[in-house]
Amino acid sequence: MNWINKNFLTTIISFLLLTHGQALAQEIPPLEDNQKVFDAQSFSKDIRQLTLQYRGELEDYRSSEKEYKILKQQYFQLETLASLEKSVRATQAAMVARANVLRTYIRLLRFHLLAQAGIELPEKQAAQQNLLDTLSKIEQHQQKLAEPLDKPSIANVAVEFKELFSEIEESVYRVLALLTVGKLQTVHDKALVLTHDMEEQLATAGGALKSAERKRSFDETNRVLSSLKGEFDLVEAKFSDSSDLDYKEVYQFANDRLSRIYSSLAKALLFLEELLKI
Amino acid sequence: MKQSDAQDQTQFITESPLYEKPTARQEPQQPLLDDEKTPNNKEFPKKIVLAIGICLLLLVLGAVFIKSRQSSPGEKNILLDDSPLDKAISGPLEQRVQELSQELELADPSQEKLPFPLVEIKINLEDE
Repeated sequence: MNWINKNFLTTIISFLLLTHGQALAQEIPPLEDNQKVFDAQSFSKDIRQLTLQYRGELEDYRSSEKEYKILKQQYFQLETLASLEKSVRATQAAMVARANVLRTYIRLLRFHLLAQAGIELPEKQAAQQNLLDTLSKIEQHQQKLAEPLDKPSIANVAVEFKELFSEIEESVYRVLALLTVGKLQTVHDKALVLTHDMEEQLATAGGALKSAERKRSFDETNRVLSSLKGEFDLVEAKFSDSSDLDYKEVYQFANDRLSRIYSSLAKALLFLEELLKI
Repeated sequence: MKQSDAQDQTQFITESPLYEKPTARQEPQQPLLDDEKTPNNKEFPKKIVLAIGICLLLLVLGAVFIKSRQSSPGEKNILLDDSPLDKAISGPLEQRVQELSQELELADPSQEKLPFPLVEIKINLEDE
């Protein structure tokens, strides 16, 4: 009796294990090559190092600027030679710290520009050259600050820097806009590829009703994505014809257009997410 | 007592056997019930039949289950016409959509990741 009961239980357990095991084996999705090939980020090391350097220099600049302001105030209150000497040194130190910050920032921005995909090569090269020219001017400014300065020399350097600052701002804002263009263009390109892949993979899934619904949804998503090409072209055209325009105006225009592109891309990605639930 | 009952003239004589009948009938039924209380020999085959029955039922159910999972793609499409997408297809695609959404967030033009440093333009010793 016991022997039969044991056999009975063993048979049922083995049967259940066998069928459940088969079911589990069938539920496991087939192994797919999901490994992504990332672009070699050859600039990531330089970017990391420069970011750290930039933060340190920015901190130095903050303390130098603070000291300069205190000593300048003291000089105007005391009006002694000693306070003048102290304030001249503090002013020069603040100028040096400011130049260091700007120089490192431009170098950092250049590496970000080089590492960014999705920017047309001629535009990238032009923007990079612009940054290098600006960098060279900042270095010239730094050379002037290398020697001890007196009060009139400081006044001259301050006037020169005001002109240089406009050039720095112009090249920086141009690159910042280009970086955003590159990021959005990359997402746009990837969204097009993803939509195409989804269309292929979902073509055979579901019945006729589902297929028709999906087709309409894909058509709408493609319309949104296709309309963005014109928007990107507009931004590029504005950059290439911007010689007679104020750079701030160009940057503002680009930013407005890029915000629209961003919203449309977010909408297209929501459509794709929704499509997977049909 | 019986004698006194028999002498009661308000009762019919024919009723007296009726009083006695129930006790007389119950006595022979008792041994019959005891007989049905199964000898152990008959319990054994019933359990085996039950076990074999359950096994066969499970086998049939298992075979139907496996067969339904191995059905052809055409049949599957007809069955899944109104059901959501298979996770094996939608899973990786959903992941790609999520990754792209995250990448888009980093490209938000309203959030500058590398802002221009806030530096004082007018550093000089002139009285302002």
